[in-house]
Amino acid sequence: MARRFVLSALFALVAGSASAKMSLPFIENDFDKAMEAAKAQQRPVFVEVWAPW
Amino acid sequence: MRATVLEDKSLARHAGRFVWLSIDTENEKNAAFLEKYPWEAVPTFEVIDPADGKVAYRWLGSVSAKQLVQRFDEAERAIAKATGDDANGLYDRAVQLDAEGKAKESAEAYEQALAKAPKDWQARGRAAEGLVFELSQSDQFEACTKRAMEMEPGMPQGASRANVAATGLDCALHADEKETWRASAITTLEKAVRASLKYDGLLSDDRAGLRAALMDALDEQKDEAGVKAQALDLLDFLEADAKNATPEARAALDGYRVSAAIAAGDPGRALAPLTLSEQQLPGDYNPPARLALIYRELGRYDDALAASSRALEKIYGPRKLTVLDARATIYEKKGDKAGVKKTLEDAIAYAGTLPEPQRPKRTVARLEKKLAELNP
Repeated sequence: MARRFVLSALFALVAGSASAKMSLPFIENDFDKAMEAAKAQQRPVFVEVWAPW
Repeated sequence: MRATVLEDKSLARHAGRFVWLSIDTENEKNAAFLEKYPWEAVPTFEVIDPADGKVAYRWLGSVSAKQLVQRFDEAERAIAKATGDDANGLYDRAVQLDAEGKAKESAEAYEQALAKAPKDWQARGRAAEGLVFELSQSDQFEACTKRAMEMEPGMPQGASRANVAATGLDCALHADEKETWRASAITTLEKAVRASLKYDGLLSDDRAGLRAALMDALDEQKDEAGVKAQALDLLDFLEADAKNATPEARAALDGYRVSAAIAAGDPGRALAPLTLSEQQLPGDYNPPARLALIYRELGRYDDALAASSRALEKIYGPRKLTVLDARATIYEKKGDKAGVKKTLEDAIAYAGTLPEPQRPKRTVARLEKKLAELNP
């Protein structure tokens, strides 16, 4: 990551964030469940990959 | 981003467009997902087409709520496999190539899209950002720097222009020092990044990130006085920004606070805000983990170990190794060799319990090397 500059992700190792109240109905940490729902509802899966840093 | 944008109430009406999944990279339930979809940085956002399980669209880094909605549109277009050889079709292809990890081809498609686009094309800023990012990803540092310098002055003031300048600066810094164009490019782009700090409509996260990018640039150039001045400027910014922020949004920038306070030669300046974060977010392991670093810098080793212990009580996943690694350095500075040895052994033993895709191999190798050096 050191060389891959992305604004806001530059210091991703140190500048993470804590848990938050979401406005969108996120399924937490269950890819299989999300894929099943996506196939049933014929919608794509939007994934947020984050770390509690 | 989690603490701010995803909480934005205006997003609720987009709930029906996707199935929403959040993946905590540290949680072992996600080992299989992370093996199938490796990540390079957090936050990463990706849209998966359930028909073939492939990533159709992705990006790295935080965006505002308004930009997020634009990305929802682009993701849907990517899924629809929009093609065509007009600027929009080429742009969509560039986005798809990026999602497939083909940075070089993606850069070419962005370049073609920009060449075909009308002057007032609404995606011009995003395409410029995409182009320099993909050039950087494919190690084309000279092309990345030069395209950034060509495009940046003509762009409207805002997040895209700031991002083009910062990515270009990063490329220039990573170019071979022998290149004759490098020094003047760094000067030009540094100036552009500095100017972008005044733009309206940037996230606090971006404003801190731009200052950190400048700090990085000065550090690369071994300009010690410059680094210190920039670190003080970042600290001033963070303290002013904290006045109107929620505890979560403020704590999200604590990592910058630690780096800046240490780089400024004034680690004590981070003590009060980090202590406040620990009080306000008692379930979060980050504040005590960061406090441990600050106490270590201040030479207060017992306070550092106590803060590190508080962090270890709450922590889980691969990040625990980083905290144990830092703990070993506290013992080292304290001159407690037995403490160093035990901490490194604990860390390596813990690494062995992590699922394979979540085991940070480089960190483990480093810890093993340190331990081996202790036992001659």
